[in-house]
Amino acid sequence: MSGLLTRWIPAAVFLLLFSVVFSAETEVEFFEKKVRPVLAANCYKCHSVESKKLKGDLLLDHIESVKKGGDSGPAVVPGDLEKSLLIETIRYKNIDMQMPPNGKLPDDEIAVLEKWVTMGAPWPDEPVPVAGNRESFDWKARKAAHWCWQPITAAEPPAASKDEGWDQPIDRFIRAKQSEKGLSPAAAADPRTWIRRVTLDLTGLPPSVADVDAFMDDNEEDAKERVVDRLLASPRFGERWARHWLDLVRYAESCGHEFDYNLNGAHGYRDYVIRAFNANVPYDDLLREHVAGDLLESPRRHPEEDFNESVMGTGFWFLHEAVHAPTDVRKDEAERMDNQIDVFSKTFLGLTVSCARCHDHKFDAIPTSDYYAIAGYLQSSRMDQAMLDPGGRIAAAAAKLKTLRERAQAPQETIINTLAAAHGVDSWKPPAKKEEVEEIDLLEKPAAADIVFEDFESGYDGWKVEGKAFRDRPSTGTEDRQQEVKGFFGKGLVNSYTGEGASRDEPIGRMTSAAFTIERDFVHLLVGGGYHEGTTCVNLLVEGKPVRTAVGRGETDRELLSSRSWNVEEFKGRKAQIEIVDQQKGHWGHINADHIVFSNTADIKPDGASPADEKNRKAIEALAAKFKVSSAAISQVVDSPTNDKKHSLYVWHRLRNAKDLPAERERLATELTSQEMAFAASLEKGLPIPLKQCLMSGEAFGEGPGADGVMRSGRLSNKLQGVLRTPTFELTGDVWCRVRAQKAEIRLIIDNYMMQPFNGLLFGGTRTHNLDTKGQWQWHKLGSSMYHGHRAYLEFNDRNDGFIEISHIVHGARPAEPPNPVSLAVARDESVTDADSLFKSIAKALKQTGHAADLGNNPAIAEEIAKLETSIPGPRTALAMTDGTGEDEFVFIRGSHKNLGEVAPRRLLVAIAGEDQPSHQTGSGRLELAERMLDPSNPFPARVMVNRLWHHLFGRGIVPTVDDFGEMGQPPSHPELLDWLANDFRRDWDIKRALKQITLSATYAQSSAPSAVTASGIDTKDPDNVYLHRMPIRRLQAEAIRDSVLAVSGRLDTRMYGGPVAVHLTSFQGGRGRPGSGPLDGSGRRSIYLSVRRNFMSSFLKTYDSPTPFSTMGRRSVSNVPAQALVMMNDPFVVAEAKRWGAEVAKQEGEADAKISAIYQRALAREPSSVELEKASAFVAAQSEALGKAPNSPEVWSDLCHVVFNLKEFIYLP
Amino acid sequence: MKHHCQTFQTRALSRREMLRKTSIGFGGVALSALLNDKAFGAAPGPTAAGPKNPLAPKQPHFTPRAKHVIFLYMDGGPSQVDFFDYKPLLEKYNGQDPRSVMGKLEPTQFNNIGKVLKSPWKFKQYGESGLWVSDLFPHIAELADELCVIKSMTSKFSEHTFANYFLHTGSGFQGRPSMGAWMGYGLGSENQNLPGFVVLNGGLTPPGGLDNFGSGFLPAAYQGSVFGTGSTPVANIKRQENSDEAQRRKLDLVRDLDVGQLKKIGSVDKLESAITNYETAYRMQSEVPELMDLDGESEATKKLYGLDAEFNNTKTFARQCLIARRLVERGVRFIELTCPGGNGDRWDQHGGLVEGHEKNAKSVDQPIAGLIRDLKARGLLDDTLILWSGEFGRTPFAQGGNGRDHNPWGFSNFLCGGGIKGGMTYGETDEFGYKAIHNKVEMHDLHATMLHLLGVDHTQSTYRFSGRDMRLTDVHGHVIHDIIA
Repeated sequence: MSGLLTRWIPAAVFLLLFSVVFSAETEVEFFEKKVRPVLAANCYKCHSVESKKLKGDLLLDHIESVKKGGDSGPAVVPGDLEKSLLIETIRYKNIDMQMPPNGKLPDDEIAVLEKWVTMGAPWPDEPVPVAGNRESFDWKARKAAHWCWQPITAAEPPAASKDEGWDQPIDRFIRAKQSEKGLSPAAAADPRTWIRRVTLDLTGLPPSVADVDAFMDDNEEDAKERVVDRLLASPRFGERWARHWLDLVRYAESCGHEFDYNLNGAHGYRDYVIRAFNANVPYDDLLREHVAGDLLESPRRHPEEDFNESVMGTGFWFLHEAVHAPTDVRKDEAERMDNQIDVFSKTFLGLTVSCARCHDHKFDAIPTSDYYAIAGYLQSSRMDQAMLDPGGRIAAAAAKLKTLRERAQAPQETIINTLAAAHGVDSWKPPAKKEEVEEIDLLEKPAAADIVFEDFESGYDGWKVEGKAFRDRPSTGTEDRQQEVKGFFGKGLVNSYTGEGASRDEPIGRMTSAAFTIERDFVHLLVGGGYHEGTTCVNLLVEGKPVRTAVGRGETDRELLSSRSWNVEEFKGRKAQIEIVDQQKGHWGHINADHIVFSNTADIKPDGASPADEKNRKAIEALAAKFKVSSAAISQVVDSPTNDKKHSLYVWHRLRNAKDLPAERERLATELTSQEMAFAASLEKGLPIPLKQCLMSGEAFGEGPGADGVMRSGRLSNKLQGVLRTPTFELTGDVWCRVRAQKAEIRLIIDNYMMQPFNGLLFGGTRTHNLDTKGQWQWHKLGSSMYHGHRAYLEFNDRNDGFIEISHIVHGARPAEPPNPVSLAVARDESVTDADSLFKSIAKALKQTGHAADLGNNPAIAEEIAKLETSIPGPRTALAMTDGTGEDEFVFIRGSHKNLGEVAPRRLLVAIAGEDQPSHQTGSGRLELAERMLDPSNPFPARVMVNRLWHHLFGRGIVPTVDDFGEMGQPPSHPELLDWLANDFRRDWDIKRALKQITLSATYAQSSAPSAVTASGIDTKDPDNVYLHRMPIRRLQAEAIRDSVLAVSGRLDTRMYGGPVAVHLTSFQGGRGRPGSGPLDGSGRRSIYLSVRRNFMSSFLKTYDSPTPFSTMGRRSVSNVPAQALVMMNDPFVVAEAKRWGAEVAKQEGEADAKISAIYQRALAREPSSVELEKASAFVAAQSEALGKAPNSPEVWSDLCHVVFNLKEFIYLP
Repeated sequence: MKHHCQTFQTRALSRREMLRKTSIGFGGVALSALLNDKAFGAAPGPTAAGPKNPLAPKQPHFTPRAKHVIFLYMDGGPSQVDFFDYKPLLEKYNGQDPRSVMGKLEPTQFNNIGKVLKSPWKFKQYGESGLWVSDLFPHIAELADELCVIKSMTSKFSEHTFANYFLHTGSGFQGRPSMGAWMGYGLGSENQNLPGFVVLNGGLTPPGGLDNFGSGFLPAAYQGSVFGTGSTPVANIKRQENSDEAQRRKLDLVRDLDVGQLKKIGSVDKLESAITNYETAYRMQSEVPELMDLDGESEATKKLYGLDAEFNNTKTFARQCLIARRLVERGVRFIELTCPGGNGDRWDQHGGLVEGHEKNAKSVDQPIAGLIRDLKARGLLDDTLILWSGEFGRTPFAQGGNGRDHNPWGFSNFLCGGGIKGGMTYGETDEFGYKAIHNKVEMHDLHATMLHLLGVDHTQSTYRFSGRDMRLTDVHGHVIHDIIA
């Protein structure tokens, strides 16, 4: 209390003083003379009713407005400098809030405003200036005013037209509008034009000569229908229409930015889209799968390979750019979400929700809260590489493993027998007779295991290396110009034959190991190379002095490393080092060394196993046979450390030979109980993250934590893979995970930032990969003080044949070590009085704590498990979204993540689904979002999709701005037709049926030449052919041009799916992250299979407007530039394909005219006219003469083929 | 086929006018007449309906001060306090902890904050204006009275790629049109045989890749064409046939057959444009190599730029600068030069500031000075706006021991020629050269000013995309009138 008072009194006195010193009049005088001029000169351009554009919704021209403030809150809190944002901004200390924007005010003016605020911000009594026409945002009024929000009307087609064949609903709408505008339809296109048009539109490839001929010979009424059916059934259809779809989702296979890192799993999404279009997945399902395919109760499965297809749709969310090392990761997340929202809303709703990021939409009925309502779904979701299980084989194996594990662990007897066998005691009954046990001289003096001190497999860690002879890393064998080096172990060894040129023996040096204490009787090592005492040698230094030395052999085969042994018993307990010396230049001036081992046995076998080991092995096998248990399990017990309190068998070592077992057990119980209490207390200090609430994917973690609360990914088998993710939490300190792991990865994902595997910059300490705790439990720390206050979650990855076990996750200080649960259970088990009860108790505890499998496996079943494990396939992974913790996002005031407004509950746009949408109870709520989108009251999905189909078939949508139905888009040319199509489409959401309907219409079958009736008036009546008084001439899209070249040249390879084919890069395409260049012809594969690396796009395709993948691009630009001519004239790809085709033409039978005709039919689906034939023949003759080649030579025909590729007709569809 | 600089085309005939004149419609004769007329296709720009030549010259909003831009892009972020922003206080506090001297520091890219680091180079005042320049730029320093150094530049990003996109396109993200593309969109090109936006690649492609020079949502015609410095500077410019005649025969047949088809279909703008593109492409095949051939340049000119320099990268950049002048002479609107590789690193000295900055400075100093002098001597400087800029500056304190980290809060660049006042500085950073505090300039302001000098009102040059009218300056940008002569 007193503290509070002392803080408050001076402030109060201070204010009091001012009110005494300044009368109201002087205050006003001060304001008028000093304050108002500063405000007027520096602020009123943007912050007064006179402002042309009011910024930040902040007015500073009346005290009421000043106190009310703008988007960021009150500008001035009278009397409180620190709470007054106005003061904060003019002080220029906060880089995100600096005013005036062009430069800091002079210090004296800042002082004036500070003084004014301290005075209590006096302002004369004057009327509030009248605001101009500042409108408040009224989404309902906007919704009512624009066509796109209105429900789909039940439009009926107008009466059938008199024109023959114009009786389908589509045609009646089109014809009616034409009549209204005084237009007549064009004549029907020539059948060859029609089949080329429809084939390229539906498959992106030209029709084959046979297809054209068959159609020309088909006089049945349904000939066209059968062509369309055939094309829609062709696998080429999916490849064509998937590419259209990929434009919407900014499809790419790399992250762009500085190093263009790989976007893992992207091409799996591409294949999913191709399959979906070929399988004619209904559009409502396609939408559901994109928004929430991971959450569907019964997902669609691949028809042959039988894996979850639906989840793959969610991959589209993550096809955005990604950056490494953002200095503000929350801002980076905001940018990623912005792109996701942009793509999501344009693709499925044809709306630009992104425009409402910083303020209510300027034109459409979309308040800013709508933007953040959608952001909440992303905030509540996470990126995943989903684990798919083709054929359910992994799940089946897991189920079988579960049964086997239960059976394998069943015989408690086995554990008891194993312990007993290892104990080797005569008190144990039966089966061993005393003499038999004695014969097995096993445990009376257990041979201490050999210690491999150094084998030079992983660098020179711990060694001090001087001079140049040893380089900075071990050799890997024979050096350049060296005789063959043999006899070393593994891959690495010391080999100082490292010089250059003729003086390879010249470099000298010395390397010295870290100090160690001599604990074994012998040092064994391998030595070869030079044989100079003192200058090429390996020495044992005791307290710095050499006491043992070894040199090369000085015989033939000198590079052979051979075994040396030193008896070092006399030095036991003393500090020592190993020293490797090369102080010799010239002849044999180098040394080889490897595999330094400390041992208690005198001799050493080449494979490292001593004769004593061999003897033990035999003994253990005998015991195993006798006790009917596995010898591996016995070895494990025998080799378990005697003094490691963390080990599960510590209790066995400690109690089995105790003189007074019950007393020793009680002592142990006391020790461990106090350890347990210390552990529990340390956990209370941190914030535990409950393992039960973690989210699992894959099969590895099974059904969740075991009876002991531990999550184990190797519970059933190390072969199973899985990922565990914690709920999202606020990072306030280090995160400690108590884990046991092998080949595992732990990641701390902060603000959904996922790029650490590519580049750890600024994210040190947030990721551990290839974690191996060598069988021990340990506390593992993750965290970075830079990110305190951020949202985060942990991801535990077992994505290979390793495992990870997690017992505790704590947030805060490092917790204490818990007692070993086996030890604790046994120590507290009062039934333990002798060896018999000890073994039983241990067996029970091992089982209860999940360690039983280590010892007690039934050998027969273990074998069965091992066999089963070899047949478990790895999961197929897919880029996907998965649910995280459901969280609503805040509104970012003026788009700034540093300036948070109110919470925006997750929901679909208010203008679509209203203000009262039920809140989501579990997870992200994306599945409910998808259903709200598909509610019949929402007109967007159906209208937007049919409009896209129309756009691709006519080159112009009924709404030309296909991604923007809002106020800034263009209105529909045929609103009734759009609604009729939408209504018809959402009967069954059948994309192929919709396409068939349009391609079989009379509208689509028109010629591109206007009818004689219309031709004279089109300039005024329909210059842009909005009313489709003829078929528009369209240029083929980039991919269709390249694919047509391949199809016509005969190179097309129709293999589907799989990894992308590298793009052929020109020398002009450079930069960081440049991939290897691919084959010139892309291996003949269709363009959809060419790699799409953001920074290294195909220049051929780009020239023809393939889009930059940054946002939804439902309508590509169609440019018409000389660079396109240069590509067709000079690109080596086009020239090579012309050559390929020309060579084939030369080989064909027939006269020149027949060949020319064949060329025309293949490329343009028509015969040449007589004039064309004449010109082409003349060219062949002239070119033959000029080149000095026979008229039927490949060179001449290639030139004509090249000409045909360059015809406008080849890339423009009439 | 030499070009004469400053020869601007007369108002172009619209296609419709042309058709009226030729009256017989679009037969072969008329077509070939059109093909020989370079003005063909020059019509109002792409904002009007219908396929028109997107590069046809367009009327600016008001009288331009400059017709060309040469952007000397200093990739990596040169250090402002080591070139133009002289801060004696750094000497005083050299070696001290910046947090105790300068207060709270903003997050840096490498989060490895060292001590306050004074400039290793000496500063002197030059010219009548007394502009401070360090010893790193001895040649440029002599032209002090031509330069307007902006000392209060800021960027929103401290990472290269973001900042590169921001500098080039006005947005930190991939996919926006580069400023060269915007200028082509706004003004068209004076030379129909060369692209309107040429990037002369010295060897370093900036982080973010070729999208720094992209056309984004604008038509592809406006994208920057990256020219190498060799004799075949751009892809597909070289004919694959053995002789011109062999190619010509092919192209003649293509044209004959195309025109024949056109007669059947009727006149279609986009097909006509596509046909004429072939003739332009054909001419580009000779125009571009001729551009790169410096044999006709005098020895004195070559020497002026430093083509005889001992340091290889000076020669590389000298060649780029000289070609830039030749592009200006040919009417190319926007020319960007990227830095030569092989200096160890771009201007991105996180360590080894002295060696790295010296090499990079040596590469560009003489060539840039040569370019300015040469343009001036030929009367081209008045029409040519030069911008020298990195994507951000560097911290006045060290990164580690002897480097500097990225600093977007305040850095320097310079403008010259094209209606810019010479011999002045604009804006100021704080006493350490860390953050801009007076007359802060944002990228949008720089872009607005550049467009203004070209006669374009940045708020009026818009393109409808993604539900709104997009601009190079987004919804920001103020023209800095104080630096305009």
